[in-house]
Amino acid sequence: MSFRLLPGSLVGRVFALYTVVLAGFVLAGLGLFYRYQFSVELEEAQLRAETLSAVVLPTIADSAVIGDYDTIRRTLERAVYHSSFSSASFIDLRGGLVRAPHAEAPPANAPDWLVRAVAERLYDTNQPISVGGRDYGVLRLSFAPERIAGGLWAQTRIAIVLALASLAGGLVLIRFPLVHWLGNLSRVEQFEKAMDEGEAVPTLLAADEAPTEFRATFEVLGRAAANLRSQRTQAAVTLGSIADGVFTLDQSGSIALANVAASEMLGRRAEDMLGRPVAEVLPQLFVVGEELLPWRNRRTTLLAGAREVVVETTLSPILAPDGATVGHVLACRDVSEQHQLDQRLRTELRSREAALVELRKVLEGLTRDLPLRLAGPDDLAAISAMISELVSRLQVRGEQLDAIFALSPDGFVSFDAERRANYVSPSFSRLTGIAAQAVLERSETEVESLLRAQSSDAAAWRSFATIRAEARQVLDGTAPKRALIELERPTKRVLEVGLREGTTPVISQVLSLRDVTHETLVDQMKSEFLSMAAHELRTPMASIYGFAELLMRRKLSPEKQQEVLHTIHRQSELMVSIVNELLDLARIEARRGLDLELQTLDLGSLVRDVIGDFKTPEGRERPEFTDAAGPAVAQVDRNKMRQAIGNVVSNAYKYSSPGSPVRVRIVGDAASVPRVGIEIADRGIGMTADQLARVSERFYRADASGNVPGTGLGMSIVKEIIELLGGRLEMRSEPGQGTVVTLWLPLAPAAQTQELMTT
Amino acid sequence: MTRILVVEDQADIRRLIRWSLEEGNYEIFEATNGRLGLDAARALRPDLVLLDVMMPGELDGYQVCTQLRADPAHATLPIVMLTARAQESDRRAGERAGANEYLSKPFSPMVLADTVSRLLEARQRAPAQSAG
Repeated sequence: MSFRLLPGSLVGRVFALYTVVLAGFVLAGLGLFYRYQFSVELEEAQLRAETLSAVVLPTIADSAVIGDYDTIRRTLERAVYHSSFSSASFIDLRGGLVRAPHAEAPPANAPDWLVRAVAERLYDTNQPISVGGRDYGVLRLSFAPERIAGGLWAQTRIAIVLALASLAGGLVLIRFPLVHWLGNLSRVEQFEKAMDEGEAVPTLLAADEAPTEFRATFEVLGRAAANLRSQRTQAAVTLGSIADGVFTLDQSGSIALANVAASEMLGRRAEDMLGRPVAEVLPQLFVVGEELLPWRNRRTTLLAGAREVVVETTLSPILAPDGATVGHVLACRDVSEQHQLDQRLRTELRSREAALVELRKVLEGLTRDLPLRLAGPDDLAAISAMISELVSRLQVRGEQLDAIFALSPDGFVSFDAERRANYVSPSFSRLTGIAAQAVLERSETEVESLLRAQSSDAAAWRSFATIRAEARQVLDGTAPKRALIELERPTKRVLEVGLREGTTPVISQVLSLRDVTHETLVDQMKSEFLSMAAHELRTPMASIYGFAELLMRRKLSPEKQQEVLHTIHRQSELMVSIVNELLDLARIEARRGLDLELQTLDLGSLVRDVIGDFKTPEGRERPEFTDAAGPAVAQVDRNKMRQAIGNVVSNAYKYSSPGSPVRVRIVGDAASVPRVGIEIADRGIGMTADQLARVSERFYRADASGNVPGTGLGMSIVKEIIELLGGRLEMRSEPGQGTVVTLWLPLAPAAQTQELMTT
Repeated sequence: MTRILVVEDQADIRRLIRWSLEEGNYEIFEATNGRLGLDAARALRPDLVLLDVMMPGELDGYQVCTQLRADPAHATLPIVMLTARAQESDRRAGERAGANEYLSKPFSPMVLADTVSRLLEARQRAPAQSAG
């Protein structure tokens, strides 16, 4: 029982002991104080009464002698002023009484026992009044014990209050250091709790201010805790760093521990799983209520939220030293990726197999025309055989295409999907003078500006975009408008640009350049020729028209009429010959030598024939002819040759004055290619170098005055004929000295010459 | 007497022009190419020039016309161009060069005579107006 009365804690016990001791001391002190105060108070009251009696006695005695009772009364009233007296009275011998009472409430209502104790110890003072041996009466002072007791009681109450206050203060003062010093002990409990929660801090036990008796104990505890903590940390780090999920199960099969990998694997926080039955957390692995038996490498699919995790699990028992099973460890390895990989590999293998079969079918289709079926021991071998066949075919095709592009006079540039040049044909570089390296990998815009730099007229440039837009617009089948560009470098060229958009991803468009310089030139020459011809026809027409009108509207003299008619006739003749020669020229050009009737002829006899038929102008000598020493044989068209010789001889007469001779002779030239020439020389007005250079231009007239009749086409025709026959027209002239024209022709082979001579 | 300069390389056409203008009381001068025509115009100060466009030599009709107009003395000189070129572009080239009239070959001698007299009358009126 007594054990129960004591508080449990050490602080409580020490404090209780202290309280009892302190209370004893305070009570003793209080008792002593009371006793002392009581006796002092009573002694003082007694002494005060005696002193007071002695003081008032003479006054009372004097008054009593003279019978002045009023003065006695007043004196008495003054005397009982002090609170310890209840009344003062004078009793004369006759029994008369003068009484001065003092009524006053006591300072405190003292308990009765105290009032009685005071009353017992005090006695009234009676002082006889005698003057000169005669008694007059008695002076009596009565005490007021309840007031004295009240005063005492008030003091005592204050003392009790003070004593209680000092007792309480003392208890409070002792409480703090006591708790502070002895409270260190209770930290052990906190420490244990913290250890359980895994948050133990060794400083919790760093007890420098602890009493010496505890310090050693704390240090031992701290060391043990630190040791345990580092082991735990190691275990936690080990568990945490294991990629496998680890669950520790207690004996009942509830989860006691789950590492980081385990909670990540399940997508649940470890705290949520702790303490719960494993069958509830992992229903895929455990059946509720079933006994746990160890297993190894079991593959299971777990559901972690919405995600599926494939794990390989091992369950091992934890055995106590006595061999009893105290728990289990479940290790889970995440094999999802491996599993997925397996699945994917399997799928891929299947699809590859299917693709191979398809590929083989396709390849068989492509190589159907092969004389012998290519078949290996398996699909792969067959496929590789077919592919190598196809590759070699493609190589051949590629070489063919390369050769075609290399030999094509047209230039090509192909562009890839980003419109960058990926192929440049050799002809492109040849036509534009831009190296293939400068074009390859360049964008369409860059290629365009490269081309543009070679162009003469940048203002007339038609951009690729325009050409492409136009090509798109005419997709309905009509031929696109010809896009021409003129290049100044490397030589003057006119190129037709085509820009066709491809349909394959490799080639987005192909730029083609065709050299149309010659065509353009021919076109230009044709239109120039036409306008020249028209102009040449208009000139005689102007004379004919004008003179005919004059003849109609004006009255002309007969001489003038005659002259007009002559002029009209002459100009009509000129028109006819222009038309004829134009037709000749047109025929020669149109036939391009196809209508030549080639014969092996001796040029000497041919010239002799021509001269014989030539209408020598009036008043002029016939041409002088000098034949060659030997035969001068060439393959010629007789009629065309006659026309050519006739034109030249006629010119020789036209541009020389009467009296000067025209000489014709056959000349030879034993150059590397032996040739034979017909030379026609005059001593006429001759030509300047400038005129000479233009003489075989159509309609060119050395004399433009109109004094010399002619069409300006004669020498053009001569040149055409001689060149058609494989020969060359050669002219030398000096102004005022005359002109020498030689019609050179290739010499016929000796066998033909021989043949001709014998017939 | 009114002076007319004919610059034309073809003799037949020169004769045709001369005869076409015979009825007017003109003094007619002839030049056979552009250079000679230009020199003659500067020397003779004619009242009217008939100018062929296509002529041999260094200067064609357009150039002669342009050079004549460059000289302030010939700023108002009536110039009639004659040409076998009959296209609109040629006509415009003639106008740019400063010709007053442009006749294409073949031309009517009557029209030529009318054109010449009309231009000469206009030329005579113009100074009269400015004087009066």
